[in-house]
Amino acid sequence: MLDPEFTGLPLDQLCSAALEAMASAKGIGYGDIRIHRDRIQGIHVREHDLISLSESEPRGFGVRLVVDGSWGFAASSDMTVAGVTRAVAAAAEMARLLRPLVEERVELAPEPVHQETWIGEVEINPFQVASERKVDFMLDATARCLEAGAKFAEFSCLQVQENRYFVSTEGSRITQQRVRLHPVLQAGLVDERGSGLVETMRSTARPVGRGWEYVESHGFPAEAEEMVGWLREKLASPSISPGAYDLVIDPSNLWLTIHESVAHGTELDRALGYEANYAGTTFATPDQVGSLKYGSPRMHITGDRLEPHGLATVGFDDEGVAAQRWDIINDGILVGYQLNRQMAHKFHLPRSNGCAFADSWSHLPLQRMPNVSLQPDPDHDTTLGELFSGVEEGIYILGDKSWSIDMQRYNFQFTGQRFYRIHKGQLAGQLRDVAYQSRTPDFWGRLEAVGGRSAWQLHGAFNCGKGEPGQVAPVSHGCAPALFRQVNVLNARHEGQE
Amino acid sequence: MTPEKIVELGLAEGMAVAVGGKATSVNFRLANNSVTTNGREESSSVGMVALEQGRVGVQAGDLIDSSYVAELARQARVRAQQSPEAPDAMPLLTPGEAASRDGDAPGAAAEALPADLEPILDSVGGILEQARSAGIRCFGYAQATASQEQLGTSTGVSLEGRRQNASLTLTLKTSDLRRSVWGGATARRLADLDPTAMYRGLSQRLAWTEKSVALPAGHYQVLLAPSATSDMVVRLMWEMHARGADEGRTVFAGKSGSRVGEAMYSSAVNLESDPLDPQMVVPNFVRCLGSSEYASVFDNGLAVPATVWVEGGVQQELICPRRWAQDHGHPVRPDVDNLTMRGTDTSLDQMIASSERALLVTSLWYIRDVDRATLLLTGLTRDGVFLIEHGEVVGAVNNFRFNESPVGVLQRTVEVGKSELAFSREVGDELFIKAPPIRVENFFMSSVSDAI
Repeated sequence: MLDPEFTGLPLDQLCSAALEAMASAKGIGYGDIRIHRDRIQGIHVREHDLISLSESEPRGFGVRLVVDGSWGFAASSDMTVAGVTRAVAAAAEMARLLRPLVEERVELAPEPVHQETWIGEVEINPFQVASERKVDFMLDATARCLEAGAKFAEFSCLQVQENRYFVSTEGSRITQQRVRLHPVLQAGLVDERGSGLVETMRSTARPVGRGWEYVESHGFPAEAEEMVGWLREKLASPSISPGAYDLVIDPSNLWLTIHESVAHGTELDRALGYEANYAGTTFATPDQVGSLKYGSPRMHITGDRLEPHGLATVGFDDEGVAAQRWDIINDGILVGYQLNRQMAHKFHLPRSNGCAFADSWSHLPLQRMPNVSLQPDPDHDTTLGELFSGVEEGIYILGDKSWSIDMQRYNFQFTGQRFYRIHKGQLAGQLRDVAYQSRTPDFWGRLEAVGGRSAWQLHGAFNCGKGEPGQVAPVSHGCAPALFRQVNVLNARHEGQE
Repeated sequence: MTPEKIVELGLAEGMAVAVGGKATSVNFRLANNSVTTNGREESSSVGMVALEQGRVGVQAGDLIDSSYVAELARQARVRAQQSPEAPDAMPLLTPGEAASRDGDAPGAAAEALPADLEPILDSVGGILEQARSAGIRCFGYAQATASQEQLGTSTGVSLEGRRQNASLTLTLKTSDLRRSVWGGATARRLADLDPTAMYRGLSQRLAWTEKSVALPAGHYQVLLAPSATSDMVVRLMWEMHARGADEGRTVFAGKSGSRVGEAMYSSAVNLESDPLDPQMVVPNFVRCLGSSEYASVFDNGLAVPATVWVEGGVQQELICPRRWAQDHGHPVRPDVDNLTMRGTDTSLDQMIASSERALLVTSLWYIRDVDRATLLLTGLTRDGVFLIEHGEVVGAVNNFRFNESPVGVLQRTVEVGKSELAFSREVGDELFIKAPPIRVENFFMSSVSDAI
């Protein structure tokens, strides 16, 4: 159900004022207005204490228009007719001021007119759950960590409800609502054999486009105790010897590698240089579509804004383009990109695939990542055990931790939460200090097998950064566990002492 | 509605702390020698903190009208009633204990307007024309921001802080996109920046890339340009809190207690902050709507003094809110929104000239934690690594991934150059930083990056 506090705002009145102001101004070819109202609650507990519980309700609108081939954008939290009218004038002023420096005129790929409402599916809206219930639940989990022997335990949970109302001069009028949350439970023990400092372990819970039902059904009470056991075993485990290893990478780790090395690498705005001053470019340039060997033939990557409970799942993007699903890499070959309407036109495509997104009312929509996922083995429901069985000596990696990749999406280095030795097809205890480092096409070229549909999971992040001024976007990545042959593994602890 | 009025309404609703804010900004982006996007943003914000017998409720939002302030105050009260007692509870400060009112940025503008872009538009147009003529592609970003925050407490504290800043970053690439350089600058106003001079300096660096030198991974003597130095010291600053040290969570934890008093770095290293530094004025009082290791909502209004964090390579202070300080016997040390690494009179050019063999690293990118115990970081060089031999730049070197700790980097710092207002490519202009170029021995480049 749409939040009545949002629909109670003077949405139509403000949008009508924007359209009238655009119509009466000279030379405005296209225009739209997005009204946002978010609810954000952050809870942070540590050990037996509530550290912070804060809630905010950002709200405002952004006006985007084209004057003589130049974008103009203005945003304001002054949600009055006067505020909207002033913003339209400011956007037009920005467009005219900068027009002399615009070499490439803005033109948009066509999109049908949509007049619809879309609501993301959740069972329990977290903003309808009493704060005491949430705090008590979280304190119970940290208490269980402490009872299991943890020296420290903390639990944070960020919850967001986004409401958007989009109206364009083309006639689209779209109302949307979605909810997401990210619970993070972490326990700490002193690393007596190593640094003498605290080492931490994070739960397997992930950010999701779901409601409070996800938190209460994840199994935190049991996992709180398990985590401390995992951490104790990790601290007693041998440090990895650097070298080349076969890796079986769990979805809880592989999602981030997909995010950094594939999803960012196939953003068309990066390929066209729009992010060259900040987020970077990509080695996957448009002239290589249909020929670039991104990885092994096992690699089938799709983009979508449709996956149920995905963090990038919407009904329509922030240009009013309906959600879609499409291939990005097929049989290991680059076949597609993430697009917005301007880039679709530039790329001579008939339509955008719906990847425009603004993280708030105050920011211009950028080409942003949809859910980008590695598809499971289409022929066989390969299990984790079957992947292990093909490994003589290797490492099974779970959970994400540290990540870094270069500005063309080649050289990357990742760590994880847990690392298990695989010996003759069987798990043989934990290892520590593992980091894997590779070059994107080399790494994906070493992909030998992907797990089946039953093992496929959706993971993701709330905080994908891009753009100037900086924006953060939520995004999901689905995958099954996958086997990569002979990847370079570093010892993270020794690396700092070389 | 003004920030002052927001605070007045919030306190009238019985709030313990009320914050009113106003922020405006203007910006534009460049790609392939053209402006691509732009924006003008304005916002008014409200922050309400209710205290109910040591329990805290915080509610914030973008301002609508006076009734919304009252609604947020009501919600904050409900949050406080639903919360257990806060572990950092302390009496709120009185006006006599809080900061004085002399921290305003002299002459700080009330708002950023489209007209603030005009002083640089002609010169930006000029450099785009030069770039086209020279077969160079120019990319970049320019922005100007002005913000005002008003803080009031139920104990009578009333403070106003302003911040004004502008920045310009440029990336130049050859037309085949095979060679690339970057530069960034920050100032109070865009009018204080010189795009033409920045373009001239970057053109010289781009000329250095005409000869390329392939080097393998390994340990090198490096000269970190001020931007790269700032990226390293900011990461260090983020860990510099007493609670993390006391709990054995950070590199500042010693065998028994914290490492305050320990010579953790080269004696050439000095780090300090001063909210009233005229080049980087920031509010000189604590504003906090959520307690953490860095600040407490109970410390709102606390004076933020000039602080020396590191003197002669010895760690002097760690950030510490009042309650943690009281419970653990530390001095109270608020976080500061600016940071200076003190320098010398030696210019980067002089450091290049005195180098026998070194790598000049002009910017770093995508820096992330690898091992918190040692503060081992990984990241990459980007848009400008140059080989210096016998006092001269002899060519551009491939990029590298590095694995280094800022603690180790500052231990192996053997020379410090002239400190300047620097633009941290990782942090942007959110934090004012002055940093010098530094010479570091045995900087570990762990692998080669193909990226350009």
